[in-house]
Amino acid sequence: MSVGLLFDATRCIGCGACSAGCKEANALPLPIEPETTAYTWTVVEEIGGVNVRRLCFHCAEPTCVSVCPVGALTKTAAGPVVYDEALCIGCRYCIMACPFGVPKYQWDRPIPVVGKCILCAGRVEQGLPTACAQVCPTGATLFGERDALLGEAHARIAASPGTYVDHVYGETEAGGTSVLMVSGVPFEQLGMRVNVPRQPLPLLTWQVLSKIPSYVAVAGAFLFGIHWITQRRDEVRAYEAARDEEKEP
Amino acid sequence: MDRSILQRGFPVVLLAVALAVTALAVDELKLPADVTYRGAESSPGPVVFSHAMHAAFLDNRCLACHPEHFAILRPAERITHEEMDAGRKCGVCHNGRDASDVKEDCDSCHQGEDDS
Repeated sequence: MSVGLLFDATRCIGCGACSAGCKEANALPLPIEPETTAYTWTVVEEIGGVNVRRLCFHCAEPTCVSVCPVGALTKTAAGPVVYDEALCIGCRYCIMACPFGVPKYQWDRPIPVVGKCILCAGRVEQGLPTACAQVCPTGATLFGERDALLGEAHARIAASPGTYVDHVYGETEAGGTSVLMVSGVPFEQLGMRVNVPRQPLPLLTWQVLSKIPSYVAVAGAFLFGIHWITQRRDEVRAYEAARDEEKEP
Repeated sequence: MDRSILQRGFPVVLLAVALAVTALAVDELKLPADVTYRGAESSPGPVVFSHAMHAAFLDNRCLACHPEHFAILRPAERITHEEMDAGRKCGVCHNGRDASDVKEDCDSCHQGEDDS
């Protein structure tokens, strides 16, 4: 059981309360920028008359977590993907790895780290909803158990198939995410990637990385074998040369 | 042929529009309830702040006030006239130019208790 959000683009009026709540709950500096940055973790973008939120999707098996070389990013059991600023070395691997382009960099700082939505992990721990869901005046952003939200998303689509496209974004994207979205227009029209693999992305690298220890062992044994044979040959050649020299003088 | 389809279709379109408008009207914004600021003894009367009225007037731009001038997660706080007169809090808009003046137009806000 883990928590998540359901965002319904058909109910969002673009009032920006979610951005305001996010800034306040996470003590982020103002202003609210037009797109997500290391200091603005969520924004509402209006595309063709449809308002759509930008925020971290909180993957079930996050690529950012799997690539972080210092373990600064973690997927908590409760659902949020959080990060420890003190551990972050600013390598930006997570920025390259995220299939949704979520983590952003503090380009203005001499010692920068990344910044992104943490699904109000602190509030969630206290049993509170995320700030964005708490302040949303239309219920476009709902907080709850992910399983329940997924059921609600499918129920809404089933109840009014004319209103929604038959796609719950985040149900299978990148192996499933804690943040789910439903919309009245196809998600590619909202500037979202729809070619995200359906399997957890860390699997891709795991398929290679998990074999590396055996490859190292086998290749090491093979190379040592070659080394041993050539050295033995040299020894034999030197011995024979010495023996022939003794016979001939 | 075309006309007959149009004629038959028109009431359906009208009904759909009517339903949509009703749905929109029913789906009102879940805004915090009105807040009554009682003020000090010398106050010319309590001020009732209406979220609904302000949101409607500002075209639902929550960011006009939140979070820069008023916290959005914490409940309404005490607001002093010194702050407002210096162009902060309510005074950001209530400056006599964008909205009634906090320094002069007392009655526009100090309307007393809700009459209803």
